[in-house]
Amino acid sequence: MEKQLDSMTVLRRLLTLLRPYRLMMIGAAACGALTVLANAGLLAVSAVLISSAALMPPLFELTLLIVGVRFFGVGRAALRYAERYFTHDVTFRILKKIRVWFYQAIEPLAPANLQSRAESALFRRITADIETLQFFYIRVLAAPFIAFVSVAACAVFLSFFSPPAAAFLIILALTGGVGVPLLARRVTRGAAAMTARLWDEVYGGVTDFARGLAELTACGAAGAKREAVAAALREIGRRRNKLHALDSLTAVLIQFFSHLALIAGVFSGVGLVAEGRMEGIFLAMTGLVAQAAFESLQPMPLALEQLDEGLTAAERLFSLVPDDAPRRAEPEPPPSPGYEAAPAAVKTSAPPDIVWRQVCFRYGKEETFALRDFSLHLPPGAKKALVGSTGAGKSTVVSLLLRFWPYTAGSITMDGREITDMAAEEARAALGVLSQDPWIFHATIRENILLARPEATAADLREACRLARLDEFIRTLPDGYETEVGENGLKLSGGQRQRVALARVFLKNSPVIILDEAEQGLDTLTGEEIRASLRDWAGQRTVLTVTHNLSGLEDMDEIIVMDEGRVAERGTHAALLSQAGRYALLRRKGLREL
Amino acid sequence: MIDKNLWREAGRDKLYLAGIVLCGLLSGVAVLAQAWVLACVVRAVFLDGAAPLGTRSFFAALLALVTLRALTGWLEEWFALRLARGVQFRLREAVLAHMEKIGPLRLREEQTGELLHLVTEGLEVLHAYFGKYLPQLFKTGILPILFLGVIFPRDWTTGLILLVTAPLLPMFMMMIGKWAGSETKKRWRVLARMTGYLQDVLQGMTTLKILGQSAKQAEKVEEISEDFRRVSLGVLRIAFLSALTLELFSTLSIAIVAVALGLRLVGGGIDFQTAFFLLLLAPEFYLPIRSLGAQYHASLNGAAAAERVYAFLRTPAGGSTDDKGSAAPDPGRLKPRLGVDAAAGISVSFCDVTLTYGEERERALEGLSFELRAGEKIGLVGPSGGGKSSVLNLLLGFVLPDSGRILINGADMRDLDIEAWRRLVAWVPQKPWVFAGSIRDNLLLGNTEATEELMRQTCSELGLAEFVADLPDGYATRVGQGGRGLSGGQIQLLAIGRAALRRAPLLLLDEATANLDLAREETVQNALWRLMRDKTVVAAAHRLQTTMRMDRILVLQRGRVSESGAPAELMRRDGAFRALRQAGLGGAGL
Repeated sequence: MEKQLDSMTVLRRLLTLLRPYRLMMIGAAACGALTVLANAGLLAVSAVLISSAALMPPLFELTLLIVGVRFFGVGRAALRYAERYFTHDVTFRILKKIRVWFYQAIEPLAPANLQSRAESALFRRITADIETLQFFYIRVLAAPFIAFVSVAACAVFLSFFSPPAAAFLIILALTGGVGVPLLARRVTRGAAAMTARLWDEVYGGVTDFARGLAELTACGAAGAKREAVAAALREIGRRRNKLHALDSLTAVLIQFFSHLALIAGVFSGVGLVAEGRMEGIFLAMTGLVAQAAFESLQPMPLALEQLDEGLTAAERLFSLVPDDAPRRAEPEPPPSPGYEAAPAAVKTSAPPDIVWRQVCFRYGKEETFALRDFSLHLPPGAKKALVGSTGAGKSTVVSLLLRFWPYTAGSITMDGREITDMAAEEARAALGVLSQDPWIFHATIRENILLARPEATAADLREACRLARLDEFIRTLPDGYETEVGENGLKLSGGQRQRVALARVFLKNSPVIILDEAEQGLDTLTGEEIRASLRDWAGQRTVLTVTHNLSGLEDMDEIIVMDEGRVAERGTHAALLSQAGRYALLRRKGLREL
Repeated sequence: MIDKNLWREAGRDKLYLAGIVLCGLLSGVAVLAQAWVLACVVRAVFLDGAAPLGTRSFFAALLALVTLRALTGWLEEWFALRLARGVQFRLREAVLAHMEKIGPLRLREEQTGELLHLVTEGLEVLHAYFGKYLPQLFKTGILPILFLGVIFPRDWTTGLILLVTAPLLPMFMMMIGKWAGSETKKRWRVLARMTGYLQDVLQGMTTLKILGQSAKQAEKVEEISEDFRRVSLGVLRIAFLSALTLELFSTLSIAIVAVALGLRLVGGGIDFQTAFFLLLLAPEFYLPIRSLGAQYHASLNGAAAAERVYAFLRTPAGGSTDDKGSAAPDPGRLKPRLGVDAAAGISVSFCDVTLTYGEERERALEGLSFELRAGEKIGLVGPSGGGKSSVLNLLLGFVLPDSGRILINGADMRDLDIEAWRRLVAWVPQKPWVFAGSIRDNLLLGNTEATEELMRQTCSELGLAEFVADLPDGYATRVGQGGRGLSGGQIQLLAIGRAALRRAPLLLLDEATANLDLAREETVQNALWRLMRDKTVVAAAHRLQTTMRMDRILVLQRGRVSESGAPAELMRRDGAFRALRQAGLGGAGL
């Protein structure tokens, strides 16, 4: 019962989302119904034409029927075109609506509630779900509407000639067009969910086989694994096949019912004609109209199937955005006096004084603390480094400053103001972040860099690229700044991507620079170059370097070594070496790469 | 019309193919009979004034005929699905077998993600191809001819109308399809970018937030979606013309047939029953062609999937020594493959070995020669691309040398039974793959015959027992694919345990360049030492600590040995090893 309620809520929210397009949807569906009816009309008028002609009347009595035949013939084609066109128009409008809705809803919550579910699989899921939903009208809503209108119209029409034929049509349409698909759905529903689960397993097996092939071959286990994977694939193939067979059975049955409607239409007319209650010229017509109405029932099984898929997709999206009024991870306080409208445009001001005091944080109530009593002072112009192994809490320190997550306890202040009292964008405006894996958008180089400050001049852009040592590379490109970089900048090398991100930092020109594992995944030379570019440029700016690489930290004002969310030790390079603690040990032990 | 490869594949199940054709033919006959009986009934009642009771047998016949149509319709699809299933199974297994055959190195060059999709859901499109498209194709070939054969003798006017219009349908559709295709292609880039736009923005949300641009992006999302709508509709406006012509031709032809019949009826040129029969047949005549049009996409998708499968199957197996299944056996290899007597340990010698991976690639090894005595431990050091991994790949039999020989205890490795040889080799890869399953499954991969006791004993010998005990369910702990839920150090330990269980005399070690797991560094190192004991070892070493423990160091640069000797000796010498060490000083890692 609970589940029922749930999907009703989901359906209601979904329909609310689609509401603005109801007139367009009705219009497009009306075209669809009229297409079906035009075919019924064509067959009806043709049958009457031939029947009348058989009585050899004067030719002019047939003129109207001949015109009718042609009218329906051309009309059907035109209506089909209109239906297709309007349906797709409204589908794209729905797509736009859902995208904007989802973006606006998720934007204030991100990245917190996107990151927690992790990975790009989620994003693929989201886009796939939105795509499923854009077809919710065309595949789910339109079909029953068209079927209802078409069958009802045909039944009403038939009732003028042969009420029993109309009754037969309604009964057969309900059994064949609604009953059969519902029955099929009951049978397949569990099986479909089961196969989906099996798929995940099989996919895992195949992935293991392909990605672990080296290990498998070396261990002489490749053949056995292949057999196992193939067997699992055969098993799922068999199940899928059964589902397909059931689908085709459903389609065949609906067609069977449409033939029954034809026979029933004629059958019920036989008595009426014999009793003289219906003219003989309409006998053929009653059967053909009844059969034509069934055209609209063919998509019903698909509509039911898509209803489930659509609701599942909607449920997933709605669960990412819990309420209609989104709960903001960044409650926006009233804008403070110093806050300007376009934060990214602020000219370099003096770096703020940034202080973390006894900050505690965990990602979820069940999880262990990622940060415990963390304190750090970044006075204007300071150059400090945060070091530690993966999972030590370094990145959390930065995420909290960026207001991606609300901290559990403690305080973080900028020039004495708690950052939670500031607009999130105001806090971020002061920070230039070069992260480990900056996102490069599927756009041109110019667009990618200008994101940092959209109103920057061409000269500013060129200067930023020069500082990032990207200008030479750009000159070698035929399209220069207008070069498309591909999805996530895949057409660029790792170093080039990082330089694009670096150019953004230069262009944004913030007083505080944060390098969050900025050299990770780059070769030593590129990493060194990027570091050098920044060192020259940084000047009076505050720089916080987050890294697990212990080299090049000799000049830092302070090095903070983190372990399991706590500060393990802190001090200058020299002081830490003399303390003979963890930092000294690791430096000396020579875990150095050859 | 039909993909050659897929047709050949389908030809293996001739029985199903015959079943499909037979069912199609039967359904055509049923259609004719049904139309004829219906025309009879209507004439009898309408013109001859037959009593309702007298028409009963006609209705019984009609019921039988529509039942027959349903049966043949379903049987046809059932046969077709069986056909699809068979082809699907065979192709999937062929792809898997080919993956194994080309070996891990070649496979890495393929786009694995796409390949994985292909072997699983990618081939699902074959259901539509064989289940829907192929039967429809047969019917389009058979039924119109069957119908025309019945129609022409009765009324050649109708026959002519149908005969002339029928070929026009696919012709116009193809023309419009081509036009729409080129329009789509013209806008393809724009469309592709817009399709992925939202995902792009969502994935880059963090970056947008950092740059203070995320809120403004909503307008951009709307703008791009609006553009997408307009551009797409522009393409579809043309694409839908094919649906328009399809409808127009079939409905107009029916209209023309009807009017022509009507006019001749008035003139007495034809009898009612024939005329009505023909009118009933007209839509049925176009039905197969129209349905085929609707399945056009299934045919494209199926052919595309098949093309990708066959393209992959054509990739040469290359240098893998696992090519026992290849068609043309090398005459030199017909002699029985040798086993290796490992009682006295394993000695290896490389004699002037050269290796190139691809056709156009640079040489990975340029006449490499070295000797490794049984029980000796050598460390390979050098810049990446120097040839370290190539030596390991050769010894693992993942690739064959272009020239030169590799001798194992004096026997050429080419003459060895590769499976038997690999049983003597344990390997710790640089990035070990963790399989979905339990820790136990992952460990036992190294030796499926090992007992529980042996596994536990081996682990405690290496100092791994503690690591396993820390896991929630010990050896039964489930781990995710690729080691989700395990740290880098834990994965290393797992790989070391796996290698140890092989109890093999030769250990190949490809050391991790950076171990991010500070807490387990010590455990990993200790486990490695213990694993190396009593074994012949070839280690691609990245850490100073590891190299210093080796008996001998080979410095590999540009595919050759540029320096060799005991580590301490090399440290004293002012050569390549020292230079490398000094360069590496910068990169101390946590």
